[in-house]
Amino acid sequence: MTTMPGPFLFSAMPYMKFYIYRTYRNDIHYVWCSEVYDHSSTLVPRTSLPSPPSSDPADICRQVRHAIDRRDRHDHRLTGWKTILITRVAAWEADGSLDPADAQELVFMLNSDDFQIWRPLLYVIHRSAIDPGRIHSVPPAQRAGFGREFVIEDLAGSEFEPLEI
Amino acid sequence: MLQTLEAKTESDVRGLLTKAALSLQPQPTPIVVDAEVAALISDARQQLRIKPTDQSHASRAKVQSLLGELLSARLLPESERQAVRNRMGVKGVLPTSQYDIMRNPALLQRGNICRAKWSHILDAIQNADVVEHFRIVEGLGDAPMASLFMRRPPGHHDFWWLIHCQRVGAQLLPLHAWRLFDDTFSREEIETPRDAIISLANKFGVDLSVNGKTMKIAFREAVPNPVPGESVLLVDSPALKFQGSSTGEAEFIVGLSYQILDLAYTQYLDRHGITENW
Repeated sequence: MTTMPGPFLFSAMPYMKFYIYRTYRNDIHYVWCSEVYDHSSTLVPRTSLPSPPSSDPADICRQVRHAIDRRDRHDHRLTGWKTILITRVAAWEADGSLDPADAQELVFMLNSDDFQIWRPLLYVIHRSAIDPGRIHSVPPAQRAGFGREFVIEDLAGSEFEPLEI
Repeated sequence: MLQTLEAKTESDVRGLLTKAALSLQPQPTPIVVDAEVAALISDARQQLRIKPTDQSHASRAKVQSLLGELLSARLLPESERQAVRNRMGVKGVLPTSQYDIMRNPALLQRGNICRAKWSHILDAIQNADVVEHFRIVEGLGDAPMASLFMRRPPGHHDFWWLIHCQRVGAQLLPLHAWRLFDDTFSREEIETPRDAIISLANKFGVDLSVNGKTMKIAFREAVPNPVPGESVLLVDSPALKFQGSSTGEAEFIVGLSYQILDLAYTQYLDRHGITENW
């Protein structure tokens, strides 16, 4: 079945990731995104397939808000994001694209007890403004569920709206 | 220390930890894990007492977390944390919760003027809605800088707290606590704490004379320094001291400076029902 692509792509990211990519990666962002903001709502494209909570932007935002409100240090989403970002920082420091002093400061922030750095942002991406060749479809085996997922490795800060929700 | 990492150089250890942690993260395309990385992950699983048959998300997350902790300790050893914290404080990039907030007896003695409890001040800083840290120029070391915090207190209040702190390294010293009532300070004109302090100074501040110019408030004023390395009198307003630092032979940079007329400000508080016995 041929399906019409949705006009928007959505991605849920922590503020800290947005800050790091905007400040230290020339405002070029790596995003994993979905055509549907909230699979549990009735406002979903007719042709979309369901996605589990782990890849549903609205669910991610809700879960993270909840973890922040409860100050849950062991929340899997928060610890996962933290580890991913620490790993990226280490990789950039090793390849010379991040100053060692900046790397130390980022590690300090990532390990701080400030929960607000993890508050969720919703990236709203106008699909028509992005060259389709830059939107890579994630193979079904790598997805969290049936719903289509995409990766954009070089999304410029001017190509999306980061919304606090 | 995981066995796989023993007898390796620091850079090899970091490289291996990074590769192993990356291999556990969701990837749009499958990645090939080399034998060394696989051995490290297996080592980590053993240390965490995860059964070989357990391939759950939770066990993967535990391994990832351990690798992240080991990487963190390599990138930022405990012995360097305090220096990094201070450096971040100077730059104004430290999360608010990481600052030491110092009690300022001088501010509390002015209780009849500012009419703020210490708990109000702490709450406004720690739970600020908007924060602005000023960085005067690069290379000033530990020279005091200014930080502003704005907080809408919970409940049905019709004002914002505006707290002005002096920032030295990772320490904040509250200097002033101001109340900005909605009927006097329009939210349309105030987007940032900087706008708020400008509005406050314009309303209740005395005239300052800086470099031959008259102003109510001075930000980042660079003025010629006639005697390199020596302080110069920049302001001829009584009882006002500038925060300033010499940045070389050519100029003198002043920080955030203003002076509010106590009488005008306290009358304004009185009008809003914040009397001396509030």
